[in-house]
Amino acid sequence: MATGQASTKPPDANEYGGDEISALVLDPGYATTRAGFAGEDVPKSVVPSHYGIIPTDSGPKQLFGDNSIHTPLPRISISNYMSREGTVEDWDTAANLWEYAITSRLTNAKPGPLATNGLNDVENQEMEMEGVETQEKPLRDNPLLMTETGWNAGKDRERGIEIAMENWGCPAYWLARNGVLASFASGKSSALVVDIGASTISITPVHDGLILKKGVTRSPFAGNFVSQQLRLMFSQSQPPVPLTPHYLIASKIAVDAGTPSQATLRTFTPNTEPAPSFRHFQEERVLTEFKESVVTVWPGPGRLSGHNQQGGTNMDIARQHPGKPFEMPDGWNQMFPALDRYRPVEALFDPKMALSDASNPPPHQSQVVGTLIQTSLAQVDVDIRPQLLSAVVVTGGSSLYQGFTDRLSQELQIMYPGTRVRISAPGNPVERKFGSWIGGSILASLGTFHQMWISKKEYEEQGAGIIEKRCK
Amino acid sequence: MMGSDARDVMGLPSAAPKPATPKVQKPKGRGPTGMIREVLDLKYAGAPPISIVAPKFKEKPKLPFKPRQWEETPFANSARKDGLILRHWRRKGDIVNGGAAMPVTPADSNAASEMETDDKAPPAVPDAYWAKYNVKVERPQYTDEQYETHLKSEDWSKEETDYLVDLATEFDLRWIIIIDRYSYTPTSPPPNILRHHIPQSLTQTPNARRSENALLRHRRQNNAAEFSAHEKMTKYDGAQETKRKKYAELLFSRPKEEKEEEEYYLRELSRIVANQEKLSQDRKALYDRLDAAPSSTRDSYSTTMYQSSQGLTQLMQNLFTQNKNKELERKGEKRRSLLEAGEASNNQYGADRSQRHSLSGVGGSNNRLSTSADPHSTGARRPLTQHEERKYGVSHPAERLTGGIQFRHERITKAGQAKSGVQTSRIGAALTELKIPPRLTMPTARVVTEYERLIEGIKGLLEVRKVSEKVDGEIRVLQAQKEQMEARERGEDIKEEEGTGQEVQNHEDEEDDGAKTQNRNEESKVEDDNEDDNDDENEDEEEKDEEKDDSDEEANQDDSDNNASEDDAEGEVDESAVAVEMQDLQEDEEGEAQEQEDGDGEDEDGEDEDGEGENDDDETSSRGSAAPNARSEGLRKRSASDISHVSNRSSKRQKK
Repeated sequence: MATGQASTKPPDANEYGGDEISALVLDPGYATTRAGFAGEDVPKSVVPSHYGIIPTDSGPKQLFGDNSIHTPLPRISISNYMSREGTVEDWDTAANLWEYAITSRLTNAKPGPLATNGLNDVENQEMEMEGVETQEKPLRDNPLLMTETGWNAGKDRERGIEIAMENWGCPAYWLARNGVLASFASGKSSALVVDIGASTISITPVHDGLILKKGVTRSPFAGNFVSQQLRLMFSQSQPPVPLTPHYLIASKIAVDAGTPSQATLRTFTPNTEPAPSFRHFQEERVLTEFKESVVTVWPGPGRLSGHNQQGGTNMDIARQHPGKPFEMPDGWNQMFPALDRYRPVEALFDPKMALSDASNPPPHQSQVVGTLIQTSLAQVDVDIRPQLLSAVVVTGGSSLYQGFTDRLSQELQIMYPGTRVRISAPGNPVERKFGSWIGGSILASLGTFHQMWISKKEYEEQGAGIIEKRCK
Repeated sequence: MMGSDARDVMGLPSAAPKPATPKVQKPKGRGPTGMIREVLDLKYAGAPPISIVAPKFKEKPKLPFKPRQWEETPFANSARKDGLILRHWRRKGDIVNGGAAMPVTPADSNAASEMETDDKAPPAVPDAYWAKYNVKVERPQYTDEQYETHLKSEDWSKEETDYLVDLATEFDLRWIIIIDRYSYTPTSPPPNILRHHIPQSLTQTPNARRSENALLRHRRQNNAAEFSAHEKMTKYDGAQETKRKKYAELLFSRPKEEKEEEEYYLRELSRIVANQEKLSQDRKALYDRLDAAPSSTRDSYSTTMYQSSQGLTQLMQNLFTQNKNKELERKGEKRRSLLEAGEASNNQYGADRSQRHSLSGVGGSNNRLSTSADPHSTGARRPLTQHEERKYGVSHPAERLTGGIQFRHERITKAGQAKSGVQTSRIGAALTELKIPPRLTMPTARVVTEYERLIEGIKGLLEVRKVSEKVDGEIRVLQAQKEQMEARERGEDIKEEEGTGQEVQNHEDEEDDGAKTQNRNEESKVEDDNEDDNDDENEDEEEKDEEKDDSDEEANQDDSDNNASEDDAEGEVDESAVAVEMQDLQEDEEGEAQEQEDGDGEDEDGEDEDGEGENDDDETSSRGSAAPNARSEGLRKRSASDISHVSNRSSKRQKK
């Protein structure tokens, strides 16, 4: 639309290599599931991977999408189809949610002929035929490119093609590693992809468009871990910081900083309260807001727990930095000092700074970003290590903490002083959040990719095992 | 407008009766024109100031062409064996991918099932443009037999070799990925062994070997470099590769200090190289400048110099500087003409300047003008005042200048040297008497010219004295002859006389002391006369010798001669000699009347009698020496004033 004139003429194949076949790209993640048409720069359909369940008379009903899962419906509970490891756990729900993501925004039900679209039908007449019509496969015309994590293996890889071919009737399918796609999104075929997601931090060495499996490392201490750190920080502070989600607030009045809130809470009739998982999910949203506005990465030099050249501790320096105010949904507000701003995310780099309690153990030294990268590179052939370090691609929504890439660059430079470290991270938050989807969009719209697709015929001939043979 | 909008919203028909009435009334009321509407409205009260406009949609733009339609075109890719038919949007009527819509023969049969379900698929599907990029590594084929004979290895089973070859084919020989994915056994072999096995298995199949042998034969004959490259590719040296990896690892994990050290050395190296280049360039430029004249004439005839880009840039630079010089000249001319209008005295100066400009232009040193233009001197040069010219020693010599540099001290030493050593020493003696140091303390241009003039004067005086002494000697000889003749007439023996003369001569040769001879002079006048005669003769002889060789002995002899003819000590003798010289010089010059008179008197004295002449000489010496002394003192004063002036100037400049 904004491009105007350009849309009247397809780009020259020689200059861009694109040849779009209206393929779809589906990129499931722990926080959101991204879907959109290949060739576009942003996924049109971004759906939370969390879904709501409400019990009805005819069994539990699933609710998808931002519009429905944030409403405190009676006895609503929230769960996620993805496991904490970033792989699909609940395949049935996944199929439903993916179908919702695709059909709700991308491929609406096409207007059929008036005689058969069901609107003019006399009731109870030719029910069977109507059933056949609604059974029409939603993705009959669109090849589908799906993403998976670098450590996804075994039968999990085959479920995707089964759903796409059997349920949706895709003409072609491809399964790509999200690390590879993120490096493609940065315009690189070889890169060290550092993906800081909600549930996992993963390091994926990519060489010539293929991941080096032995070099893939990951740890569960990512964005959600930072949220957990915040919860611990709130509960351990004196007095504890109240964490009340938005949906519980009926009304509130402004109060001074540090004073208890004077909000009236919403009451639910007994047995219709939302489940604790709903509250947890809503609290996470508040914490996300907090992370976006208050939390920032200690800018260095050195670690927050370290000493500076003058002999003083970095903590002392951090205490002199400016704080930032934050107001909770219930009106409670406070100026959060700089140390509280640095500390939650510092644990991603330095396990010593992690807050912990019995149920939340601190990360091990081998689970922080720097060590993960070191471990990953140690598994890779020495010849390509400098090449990988000169193309470190940072992606993922949790890498958007202020100053994250600068700090990562510092850490890497200390770890590899003899090599040139170059981090490439798009400044645009959209490109950072949807890095792997954008890479998939590029890949699926390339003309040379036509020969790569696994066609329905091949699937029918060879079965789901074809994924293992083709998608390396 | 408002009314119509409201009606639209309310859904009322637009042709309401109420608005129609004022429409009818208005033409009636609008009888008198030239009145403001509001005033009219006051008169015809009740008329609402609204006008009814029928709603109208924006017109559809009329395009000058008919839009071409897009259609979803199915196509197949010949790189695929399954005949997958995909669809992309293409302009209706476009020839797909610039080529004919050719039927995909291999795909057609395979895609039968696909096409059955897809009712829209046309019978012939155009091939995709991208199929040509499907390039694959050819997998080497070998039978069991061949494996047994050629590839058998103790460490490798055939199955594993097959697996490895498959993997290599699949990943297009990208070894980093092959090593990463190799998982034949849970404990896969070390990567280097893996790689070591592969080139062998790929190159040792009979087909490969046969063709390779032919290739090797061919290459060995033709190209050594190509052959070595091929060797490197086929003969994979596992041990060396392991070593190389080890070194690479060390390089990768070296500490920061080492890296910085290396960087430092590299920086130093580059700096040294750059310096050297600059030095050689400078040297070259200097040589070019020295050879400028011949090279410029040569270059004007040949164009080979300008055939390279470097030569062209140089030419451009030359032209540029010439242009700049011309511009400078023009500016200078303008300023000069202005000055000339103001002062007629600057006329000569301006001409000189322009002349000098052209001279320097010919000399090739014009580059300095443009290149050394510091930010303060903006192009045109300020003409110097006469005072400044004097201060900076700018001269406008009328005679043609010789090339090269001249130093004033050279001029000084040159001036102080005469043809003969005796003469030189005499000049030196005169200078010491005048208390002028042999090396001037402040050799400004004016001081040097004055100095030169002084030396010239000294030289002239010396010449004159020589002549006068010669004449004196002749007179004495003639007198002696006259006396001899008189004595002969008296009948005296001549031989006695000659003997004493010879004795004296010998005596003088033996000892150079002037005092003793003086005593003897006092003892007898006759002897003295004879002695003098002999001296004169000796002197004449010696002077001839002097021209042949300048030795110190002779100089001493000469001095002693002078001493012999005078009464006082050496210093005074010199002084008197110079006084005589100066006197004679003044005689020659005939500039000052006073001195001329003195000189006349002296001349008479000298001719009359030796003894008196000597006395007179002493007298005049005080006067005569006073004059040059005064002159030299004047010089000194002037130079001192110059010094003070210059120092004042410099101090002023420093203040600035």
